[in-house]
Amino acid sequence: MSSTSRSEVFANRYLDSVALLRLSGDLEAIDGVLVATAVMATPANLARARDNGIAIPTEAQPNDVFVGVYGDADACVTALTLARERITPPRTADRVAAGEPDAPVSLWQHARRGGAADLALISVPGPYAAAEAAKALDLGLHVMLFSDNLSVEDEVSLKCQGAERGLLVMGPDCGTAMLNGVPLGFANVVRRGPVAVIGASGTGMQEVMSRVHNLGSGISQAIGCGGRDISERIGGATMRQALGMIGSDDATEVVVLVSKPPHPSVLPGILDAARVVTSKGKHVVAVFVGLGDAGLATDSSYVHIAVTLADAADRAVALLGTTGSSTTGSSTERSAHEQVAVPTRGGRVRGGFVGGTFCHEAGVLLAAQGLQERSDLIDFGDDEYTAGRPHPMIEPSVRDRWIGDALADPEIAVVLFDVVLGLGAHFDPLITMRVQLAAPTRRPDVVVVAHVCGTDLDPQNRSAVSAELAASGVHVAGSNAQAVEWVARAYGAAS
Amino acid sequence: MILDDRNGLRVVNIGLPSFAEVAATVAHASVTHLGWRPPLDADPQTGRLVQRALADERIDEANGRAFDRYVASEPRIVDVVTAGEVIPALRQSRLLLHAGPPIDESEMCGPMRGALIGAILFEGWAATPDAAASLLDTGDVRCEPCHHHGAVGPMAGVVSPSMPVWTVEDASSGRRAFTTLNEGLGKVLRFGAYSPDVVERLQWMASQLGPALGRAIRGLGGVAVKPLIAQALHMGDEVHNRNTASSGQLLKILAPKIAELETSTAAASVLASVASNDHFFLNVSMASSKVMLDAASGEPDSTMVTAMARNGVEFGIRTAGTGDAWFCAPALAVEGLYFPGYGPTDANPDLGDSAITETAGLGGFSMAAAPAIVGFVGGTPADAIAHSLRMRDITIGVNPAFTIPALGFAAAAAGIDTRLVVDTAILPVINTGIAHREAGVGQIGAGITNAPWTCFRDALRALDARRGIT
Repeated sequence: MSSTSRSEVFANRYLDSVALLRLSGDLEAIDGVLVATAVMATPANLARARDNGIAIPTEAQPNDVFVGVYGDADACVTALTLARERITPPRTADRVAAGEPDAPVSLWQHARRGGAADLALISVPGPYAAAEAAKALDLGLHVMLFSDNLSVEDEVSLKCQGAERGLLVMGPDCGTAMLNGVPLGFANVVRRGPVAVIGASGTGMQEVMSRVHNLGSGISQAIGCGGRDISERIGGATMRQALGMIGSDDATEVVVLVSKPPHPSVLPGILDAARVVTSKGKHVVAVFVGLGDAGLATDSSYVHIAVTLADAADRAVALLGTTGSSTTGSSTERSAHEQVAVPTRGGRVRGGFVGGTFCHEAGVLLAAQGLQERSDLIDFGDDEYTAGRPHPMIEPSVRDRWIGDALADPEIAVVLFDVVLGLGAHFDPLITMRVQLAAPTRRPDVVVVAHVCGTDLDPQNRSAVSAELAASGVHVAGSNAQAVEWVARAYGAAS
Repeated sequence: MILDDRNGLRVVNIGLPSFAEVAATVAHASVTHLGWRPPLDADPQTGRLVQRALADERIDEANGRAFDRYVASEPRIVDVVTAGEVIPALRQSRLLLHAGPPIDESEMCGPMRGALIGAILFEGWAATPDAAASLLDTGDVRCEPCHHHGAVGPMAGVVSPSMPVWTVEDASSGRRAFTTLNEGLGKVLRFGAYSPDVVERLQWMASQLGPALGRAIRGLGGVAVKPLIAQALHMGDEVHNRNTASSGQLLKILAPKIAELETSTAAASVLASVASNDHFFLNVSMASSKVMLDAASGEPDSTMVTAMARNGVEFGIRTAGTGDAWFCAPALAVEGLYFPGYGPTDANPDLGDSAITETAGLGGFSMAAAPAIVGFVGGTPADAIAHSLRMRDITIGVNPAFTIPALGFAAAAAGIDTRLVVDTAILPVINTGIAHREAGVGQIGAGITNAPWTCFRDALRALDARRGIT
């Protein structure tokens, strides 16, 4: 098809240079147009158009808009039509908003814009977390550090900075907290009440908070300290600070401390802080999972020592009775006297956990029963299993498949696992487990024991999850400790 | 006391968005999620560096002092004289000034080399372009940044001793800055053209235009610049890429005095030249910006940016607390529209001292005043407003003299703080013309670009090292 030139003059029309450039570009983009120009008809512009092969009219004036195109005939017609549309009609009035600022990306930016806050919840990759936490403290915010892999030096520095300013540093590696009724991190939905929980372990706190709710009471505050807080270098800084704050909280009557055993040099300081709390008329219950009575060298008569997480919750609620307050809800914990089936043969115990504290507590309790040699327990939340993967509370398939293998394994007599509910956990926590439980390879003689950590207020609903497990032939215990007790009973009865 | 139910809880979430959703399940929680990113160099040490700097009140106080001096500055055009009269170094040896941070002659871009050749021919130091080029190559003619001699120049920004320059003076401090007269568009020296008609026009500017403007300025007793800029911002200029209104206003001020002092023939040619140049005011805007920012300089502990400039290869910045040091990085790409027949492969990297206007809160920072400019990148007037608002997050304050109607007459954000650029990764936005990479072709487009982030990170590191903190 041969090429031709078409043009049009729009008299006394003004378009700014940008609009003209955009129009030229759009016209040239039309299929079949080789060259297009939209310019004010100055001699120079017309000359350049002519050089590009466009026939120019003789009557165009510098105040006119000149549009010229060169290309195949149909394309030229299309182009001029488009040009007419763009040049002729009035522009619709732009409703110019005052402007929404971009979404904030940094703490200081948020603060400079007048954004106020109480707490920064930080879950950025470890190498950047210390600087972000320091920024938050600089701005007068409390900090919850979900991030882990911070150095000991960083943790010491942050907790010193926080202490100077009366600010909490919850973490690093703090997965659970609840302040003023606001759930932070992986938290269960619980009613409010007079029991506070201060913990260096996430699922340990979740178990205690949930059980207190299930026994009919409720939670005032839950403060996480981070997994390393009770080590020698950190000295229990956050736990002591939290005890100090809770001591002045009128809404709290009983405080539960949850952690692994504090370093021997750290324990006296924690007990001192606990004593201050009891001097204000509150009770303190402590469960240092794995400590045992022998571990307390100092006088701790003012602290109620619990042996298991469940025991700690039970004691806390029982102590409420002595303070005169009654539980506001009814207990949904039935003491389950289940007849656990006696396995027909000996074999190993295999336990796969998403909650690190449940794995630890199970190990301690099985050792107390002399069963540690026969047990294989894995914490699937450990770094080894979570590199490049979501945590098993969010995505449990790795743990669940391991359980499935155990159910098919002739050398396994008892299988043990936990199901952790709550905000932040998977909305369907049995999503892969039910497949494993229904697998044809599951040996009928394997005893399966589980416990569900959570409440009926959780989105997943504890009763519903427990019922489904029971219907799948799982013995559903009321707590991690009770689950281990059943395991020991089943195993002991077989040997 | 945080532990009090009556207070609810205001949470800022940094990291996994799901945690923001968890906290927001209760009504008395107020949750803000930050779109946090690691520092652009992925270096955790940078995070710590900026954290320390942001928390340092001495930096805040120093910035306050520097910024106040910038706001108090009152630039006035006081004269037009030849460059050699007011820039001593140009008299002492064969020296030419150029735009941007220092650069070796062997690495200069096409337009800058062309402009230097043109200036050498204009000065009569060589008779042919080849002879001029070899003077550059042998070092018989040396080159230094305009900024090192109190000057600024657009695009190649070449200043030679015989060129007429505006003298802009800060009425508050007496400081001065100098800049060439704008030649207009097309084949001009600042785009690297050095043909005989370019040199002839330079000669006419030196012998006719400059002296006439000088007489008019002196006859008027000087011209205050900030009111001109303020008015122009209300008329669609941002006084970097849009100078039509301000050029017209300055012409209005000068024309009666020119008509009074010059012969009618001389007045006619001078007025015709000025009237035909929609960017006549640009150079004045640049020198005035420099004077305002020079007032802020020399403030130890300050992170306020006092210059942004490009030499066609690198983008460089200076700050108030780091003395004369330049912090440079390769210039970023310009996003924009090209004139018919040209495209990105023809483009020279960003060039010119004109980013001094953005440094002063004008240009791209005042884009809301000139919304047509975002059309270069397919944007809308709302986008122009967004650009101006975004700059508030990286600046120390606003300049009350420069208000913008589309922002409800709010003032322009000014005084870039290196800490905030490093912390947010929001980059200063610059409205710029695009030059052809070959000397003398001229402007081939226009658009928007940003200052490179690493310049600000390097400046912050240098300040940190100076203060002995690391």
